[in-house]
Formats: sequence, structure tokens, C-alpha cells
Amino acid sequence: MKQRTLIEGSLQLRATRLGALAVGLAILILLPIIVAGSQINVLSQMIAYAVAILGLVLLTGYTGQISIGHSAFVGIGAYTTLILVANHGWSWLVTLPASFVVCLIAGVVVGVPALRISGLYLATVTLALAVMFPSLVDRLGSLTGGTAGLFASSAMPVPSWFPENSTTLNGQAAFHYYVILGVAIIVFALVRNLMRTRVGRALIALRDTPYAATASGIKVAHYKVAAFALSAGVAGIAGSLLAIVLPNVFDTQFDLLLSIYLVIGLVAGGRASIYGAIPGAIVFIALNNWIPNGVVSLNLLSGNANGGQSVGIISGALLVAFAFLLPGGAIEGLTRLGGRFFRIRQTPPRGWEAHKRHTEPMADGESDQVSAVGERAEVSTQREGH
Amino acid sequence: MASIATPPQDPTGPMAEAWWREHSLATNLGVIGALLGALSIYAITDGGFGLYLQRVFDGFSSGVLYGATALALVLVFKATKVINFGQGAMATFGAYLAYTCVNNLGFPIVPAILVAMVASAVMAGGIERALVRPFDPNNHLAILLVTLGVYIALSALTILIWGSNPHGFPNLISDGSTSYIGIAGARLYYEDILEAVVVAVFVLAIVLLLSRTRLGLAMRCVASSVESARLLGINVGRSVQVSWALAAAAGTLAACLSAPSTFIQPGFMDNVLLYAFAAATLGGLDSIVGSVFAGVLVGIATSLLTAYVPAFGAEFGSGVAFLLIVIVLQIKPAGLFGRHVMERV
Repeated sequence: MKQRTLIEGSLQLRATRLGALAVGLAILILLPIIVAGSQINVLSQMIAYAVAILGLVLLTGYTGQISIGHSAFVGIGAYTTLILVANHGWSWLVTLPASFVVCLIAGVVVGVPALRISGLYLATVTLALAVMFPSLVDRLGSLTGGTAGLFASSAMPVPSWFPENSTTLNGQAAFHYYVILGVAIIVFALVRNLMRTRVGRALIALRDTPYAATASGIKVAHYKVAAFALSAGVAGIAGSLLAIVLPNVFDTQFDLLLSIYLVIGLVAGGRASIYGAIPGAIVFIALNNWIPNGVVSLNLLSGNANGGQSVGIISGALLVAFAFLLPGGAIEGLTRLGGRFFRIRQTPPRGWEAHKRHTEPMADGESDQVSAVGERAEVSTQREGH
Repeated sequence: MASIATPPQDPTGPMAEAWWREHSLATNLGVIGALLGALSIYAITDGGFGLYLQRVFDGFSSGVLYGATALALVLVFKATKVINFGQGAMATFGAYLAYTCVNNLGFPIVPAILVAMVASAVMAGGIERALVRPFDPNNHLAILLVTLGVYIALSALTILIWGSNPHGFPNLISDGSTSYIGIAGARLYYEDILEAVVVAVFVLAIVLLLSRTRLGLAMRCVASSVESARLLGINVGRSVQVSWALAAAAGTLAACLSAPSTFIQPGFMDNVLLYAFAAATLGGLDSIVGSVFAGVLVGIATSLLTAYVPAFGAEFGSGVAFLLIVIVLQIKPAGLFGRHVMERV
């Protein structure tokens, strides 16, 4: 296919982007009608995990540090929702902000000591958090139900207007899917917009040129802790969404392995762009659901009762392979692939020429040179991930 | 060091640095000693001396193993500035190798542990060569991801080969669970004393290796600056590889010594690793003797706190370890024995 050049900000490019977005949304909305009933919950979980990985992208993509403890924040979110619904009679969706705030606070408590010092301390502290979380749940047994787990008496109710058709739209599961999809889209949109505000710009500046950012008065520690807390809060929302899909939780559900699989999703999806969370979640579900089920149902390792464990080896190999071959993850691969077909030409900001003429009155004979420089400034850059 | 009682005149010289380090260490140990002492007085009045002493012995014997595992973390950290998150899985795998030697090949326990230590050292050397060395040493994130990959793959491999049921593991002394010295009603097992001696000998061997041999000199040089080491013609990759191998041997040793009391099962080192993290953080991530000493401190503190502080309770030792990590990082990020590194930006 011939490479096409699109100009940044042109109507054509906007239409292409909007079109791609519309196609993606249409697929997501139609999915519960296409797939079998039992798979709808898996899709809902995939979207919830996409939100959890989005939290990790926020942290790793913008501070360069990694958390091996996000399972704990997902767990705190899930427990917050179930405790509020089961014991205090809250409505399901109202618990989402509560989960967010609780995890935000937990994130500050964990992040402040670790993020003041750089290096691997955040990874260490979060790993300790992930290992500790199941026993913390048992310790707070009166609140969390301990090893017995916590159950909501009924799942999130389906309103009467929602079509209840067991063959195509599997009532409850499909409704939950749409609710989770809606929340996920809102969270993605909010995070995308946040990255274009003062806070987001400060984080990007800190990531790209820490010295210059500090010299401009950006407080490193404050913003790193803010990014970590925010990332924990987003993971908490993901936990609440998981509780909506399956309204029961137990202590070992949110263990170190979950954290590591979230990191695998992060690495496989790509940390440079918040949309990396989407391929990341697909990889996550493939490793945790599709491949183990396939190995067991096809009886590939005949006779070995632990055949599902082979996924662990695949996952480890995948993580190492991505670290070696495609550190930017799937989203970087897709961007490169897209770069073969589309070239996006950056244009200078509006009013730039007038501004230049105004501030730098040039001598005769230099105008040719300047226009050459101007052309060179228009070199195609790869489409930015976000 | 009693010889320097007052701060030296020159505030920047090497003497001054030594003075400040000695004195801040003395202050810290004093504070920790005072805290432990206060807790001990409360514990003795609360439950009697015999019970207290028993808890200290228990804490000491597990603390030695935390220290040995922390030693493994510190060896790798000194060489590469990366924490090997796969250490727990590697140690578990090594312990299973020893288990196979004992159970299927009929080895006595001591040769079995030695064979497992050598095998895991070779394996770690291979992992370092194949998966870690190709990366830029400053690319910490990539190396961290590789160690996570090693963790998850080795854990799964362990379950695939040996199943997920717990197994018994022989003691070093054949009647180790019954022979003990009784002191004021508390039992100090010979097994625990022997474990402490074994770990002490291993640590001594590593300290001697680092301070007395050419290889150790090269390793210390790499730890202090990779660039300078390279300029001096030191084979950086080789000495990092030796660090990984030694660390794996230390981890396997700790796992084999822990296994008799906890049973050997997949992931049984994950919990020990948590305490080892606490110990390594408390000792300062780059101090070998400090990590072992801090391991013993963590063991005793965990044993006493879970026994006498109702907020933790008997099952919540991991909470103590976690709190310890958070508090140390908040108050004294360099740990008790670590070098303080100035953080720019």
C-alpha cells in the first residue's frame, strides 16, 4: 500500500481519527450481541483490567517507575465496593468514587516514603504491599470476611427498560458489560484530558527533562506522589468494576501474581500511551483465561493436573521477549505499522510565521535560508501515541 | 571507633566521613536497642521470662534465614543496582533440587544442599549471561522486568515439575526437631544453632572473598563504578555473573534451611523474601554484613511484635515487615549500614 501523507490538524486526519474511534466503539458496543453468553463476563473483566493497566500506564509512562503492588489497590477497590454494598446498602455505582478516594489515600501512604528516593524503592515497597495484602484482608476479617470471602446478596440490578433476551442479549451480564464499558470510557477520557492540563504537562516535563522541569519550579516529589496516588485510584475503580462483574471477593484473589500479570499487560500493551492499556488487557485475559482454558481443554500436557501452569512459563517468556524486542509494547508496534501507511506532517502553530517575522527582522538574502529551515522543520514525525 | 571522639577539624575529608558514619550508626543502634529493650521489658512483665526468651530464640532462628536471603538480594544489588525479584523463585527451585537429590537419588542432606547450591549458582550465571547482560546496566526497568519474568516462569516450572502439594524436608541434624538446650524453660534447638553457624560461615566466606581476593577486588570495583572498572580492564560482565551465582547459592542455602520448618511448597520463599526485603532495606541495600545483622533484627522484632502487640496478631508478620520497610524508607532511606547517596532531582 502506498504511504499517504496527512497534515496535522487537517480535516482529513481528524476524520480518519474519528472514524477509527467510531469503528472501535461500534465493535465494543456490538460485542455482547455477537459473543456467547458466558464470554460476556470475560469481556467485562477485560475492560476492567484495561482500567487497572491504565493506572499502571499513568505511573510507569509518566514517572518511569513501576509498581508490583497494584493488585492490592485493585483489591482495596473491590473490597470497598462490596463492603459498602453488602453491609451498608449503598448503590453499586455510588461506590466507585469511594473506591477511588480510598485508593488515592492508600497510594499517598505507600508512595510518599518510596518516591522521595528514586531507584527501585517503589518496586520494593509495592511488592511488599502485594505480598502483605492477602494477610491484611485476613487480619481485618470482621470487616472483609477474611478467608471466607465477602459476597453481595445480589448482583447489580438490571433496570426494567433493558432488553432481557436470553439468546442475544444476555440480560444481566450484558447490562453489566455496558455499565463497565461506560465507566471505562469516562475514566479513559478523564485521564486523557488530565494529561493535557497543568498537572499532565508537569509530569511529561519531569519525564522528559527532569533537570529543566525542576529548574522551572516543578516539585518532583509532589508530582511523583500525585501520579502514584492517581494511578492507585484508577486501579481502585478497576477493582470496583471487577466486583460488579463477579459480586464476591476472597483474600487470595488479589495476590502478587495478579500484580505481575498486570505488569505483563502493561509491558505487552505499551507504556508510552494510555491506549496501550487496551492491547495490554487483551494480553492479560489471553494469559489468564483463554490460554489456560485452551491448554486444559485440548489436554496438551496430558495427565499433568497442573497443565494450566504452562501459562506461567509463556508469560515469563513473553515478558522477557517484550523487554528485549519491543520495549514500547504493542502500541509502539502498531504505531510503527501505521507509520508505513500514513505519514503525519506536523505544521507549525497558528500565527507562527507572523510571530517570527515580527520578532526577528531578517536581513536581505537570508529569507531563502530561513524558508529551507522551515521546510526541514516540517519533517514527518511519527504519530504520537496519544 | 573510640579513637576518634570528637569530630575532625576538616569537615570534608575521609576521616570526617568515617566519623559521621560511625556515630550515626551508633545513634541508630542505640535507638533500636532502646526500642527493643522497652518492648522486652513489657514482654517479660506481660508473659514471663521463659516465654519471652522462646520468642527471641524463634525470632533469631528465622531472622538468620531472612538475613541469608537478604544477603542474596544485596549481592545482586551491589553488582547491578537492581533488585532481583526472581530471587524467591530461584531459591525455591534450588530447594526443590535438594529435595529431589534427597528423595529420589538418596543423597544425605548436606551433599544434597551443596549440589543444589552449585546447580542454582550455575543456573543464575546462565540467567545473568543470557537475560541480564545484553541490557544497558542503567536500563533498570528492563532488567527489573526480566527478573519478574524469571520469577513467574520459574514459579510455574516448579509447580509443573513437582506439583503444588507441600512436602517434608529433612533437618540438618537427623533428630533436629527434638534435641534442644533448655534455658529458663525456653528451648534453643541445636538445629537453629547449626543453621546460624552455617550462615555465619557462608557470610564470612563471602566477606573474605570480597576483601582478600583479586576477584573480590574486581567485584568491589564494579560495585563502586562500572565505568572505572571497565577503564581498569576489569571484566565487568564476569564479576557481575559471579555476584549472581553467589547470590543464588545464598538464596538456595536459605531456602534449604527454611524448608524443614515451613515444608517445601511452591512459593514458600515469597514470604521469606518479604522479610528479606525488610532486612535489606533496614541494613542498607549495599551492605553485606549489615543485611545479615538486619535480618536477625527483623526476625526478633517480628517475633516479638506479633506475639505481644495485639494489633498485629499471630498471623500478621507480613504487616510488621511492610511497616518496617515503609518506616525505614521514610526516616532513614540509606538504612543502618548503607552508604548515603545524594539524590539529584
